[in-house]
Amino acid sequence: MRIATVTRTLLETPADATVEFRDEAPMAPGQFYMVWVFGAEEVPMSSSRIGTGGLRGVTARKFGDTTARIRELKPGDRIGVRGPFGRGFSMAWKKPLFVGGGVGMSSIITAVDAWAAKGRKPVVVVGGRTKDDLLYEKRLKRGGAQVHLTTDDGSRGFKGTAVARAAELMDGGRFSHVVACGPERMLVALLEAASRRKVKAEFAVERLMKCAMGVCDICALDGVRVCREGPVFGTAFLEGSREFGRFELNTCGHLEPI
Amino acid sequence: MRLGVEVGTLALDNPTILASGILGVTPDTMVRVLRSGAAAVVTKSIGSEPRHGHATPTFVSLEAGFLNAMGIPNPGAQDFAPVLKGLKARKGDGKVIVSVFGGGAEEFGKLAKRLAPHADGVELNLSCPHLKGYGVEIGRVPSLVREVVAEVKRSVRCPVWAKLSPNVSDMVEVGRAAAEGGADALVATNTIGAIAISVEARRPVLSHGAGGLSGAPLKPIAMKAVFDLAAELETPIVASGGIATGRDLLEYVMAGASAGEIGSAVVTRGEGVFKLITAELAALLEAEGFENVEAARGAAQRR
Repeated sequence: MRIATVTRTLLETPADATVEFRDEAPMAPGQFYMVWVFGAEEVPMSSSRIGTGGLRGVTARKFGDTTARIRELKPGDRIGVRGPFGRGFSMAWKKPLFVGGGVGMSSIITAVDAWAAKGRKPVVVVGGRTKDDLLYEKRLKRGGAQVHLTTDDGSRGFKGTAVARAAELMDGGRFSHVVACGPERMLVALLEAASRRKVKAEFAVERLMKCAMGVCDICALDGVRVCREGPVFGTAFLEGSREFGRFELNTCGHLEPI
Repeated sequence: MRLGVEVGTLALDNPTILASGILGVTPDTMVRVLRSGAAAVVTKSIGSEPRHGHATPTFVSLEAGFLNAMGIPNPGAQDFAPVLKGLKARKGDGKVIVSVFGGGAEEFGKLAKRLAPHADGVELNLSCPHLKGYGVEIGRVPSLVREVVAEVKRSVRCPVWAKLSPNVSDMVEVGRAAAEGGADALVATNTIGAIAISVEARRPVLSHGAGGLSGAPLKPIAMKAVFDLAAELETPIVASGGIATGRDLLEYVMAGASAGEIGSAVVTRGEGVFKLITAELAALLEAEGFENVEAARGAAQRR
């Protein structure tokens, strides 16, 4: 278990905080860490910052005790990190549309950064239930992205779902790929919308993680280990999956409806 | 070269088996492992009720080997029975051995009776080092081991393997008790009890504190167990502990094992590890002038 020291914290929204630290292990957009908060649990977190000199960050929304503790970390606090794990985004796109739902945005923001770093102008749909769910607006705009905000309640940006906005944008054949992370119901709808428009999908999928090293089988999705072969999957796998959007393993290893 | 082996009455296409606790939860994963070259898979240990397992961190890499205290998360026998049943049609020539853990002979017997009809064998977890009231807490008491194995033998028709712990004062005594209970094979060994401490956290890394050490550091310890058991007992032995190459497996065969269970090496060499080990074993057997696995078995005992 490597130890990292928190260098900076940022309150992103009322619900989400980013914790920055340094870690020298090479990391690609879409890969994730297991982050251990001493005295709490260890949880999977994709890095929301892959900067120079080993700058890394994780953005946590409170789901349980551990994510609550991550939000409370202060500069100088120490955490345990394992990883990076998994296979990230291919980055082999002609014209991608990025779509992030809620805190799922934290899994694709580094892909957006990397795309911008190639001199391309990223087009990003940032979706949330309300304006308080919208992540990284300023950071995206500063990085030169074209940003489309959506909220279910219309409190900010386009009133409606991220999928509805993404579908409009995909009309007309402007995009070759849709690169996304968010609630699985959103991803299911987005996959359908994309396939209907012959746009290829690359989604970061979430499952429970314990070992993160391909041992414990708890992240299995149709017999494929999300921690090793995922968490990013393409259209062919997602469309052929019996479990994506329908079932996930619980902590006992029992397959449950989502 | 023919690499098939027999562990008692159970015939295996090759001597590589997926160890319990690694990838043995979902049917899709187990089918995938069988297709990747394992002759058999041992399932995750199954108990009477669903268990969430211990809180994370449950798994960590060390300088050498891995330390885990998963706490036997499992869906329980009622939910796992249909999973096993569904595997029957999909496993091809591969064998499925169901691992069970109970708190005493009666519970072991019930679990085995419930699950064995859908499996090719039963492995008794008498050796988990990190679950109170189970595993090695039973497996370190020879009279209990004898009682558990005998009860399971009365309850099922398929082969019964006893997976033993290195965390006992005399493994041969425990192995003899299992043999007297009627075990068809002894699996040696489970992980060995160990702890990793984090200086910065001022606490053990694993939430449970102690865990089980697997991989390369376990090999010489499990090797002695296999060697000692083979020297004293006639019961077939399945080796488990740091098998990552064909050479590792042949060492165990020469110590007296009939086959080997592989766990940690699935992480270090990937799912192709079963085919790799089998191919390496074949080449090494040939180079050393053995016609098959059986011809090399116990070679290190004859001095």
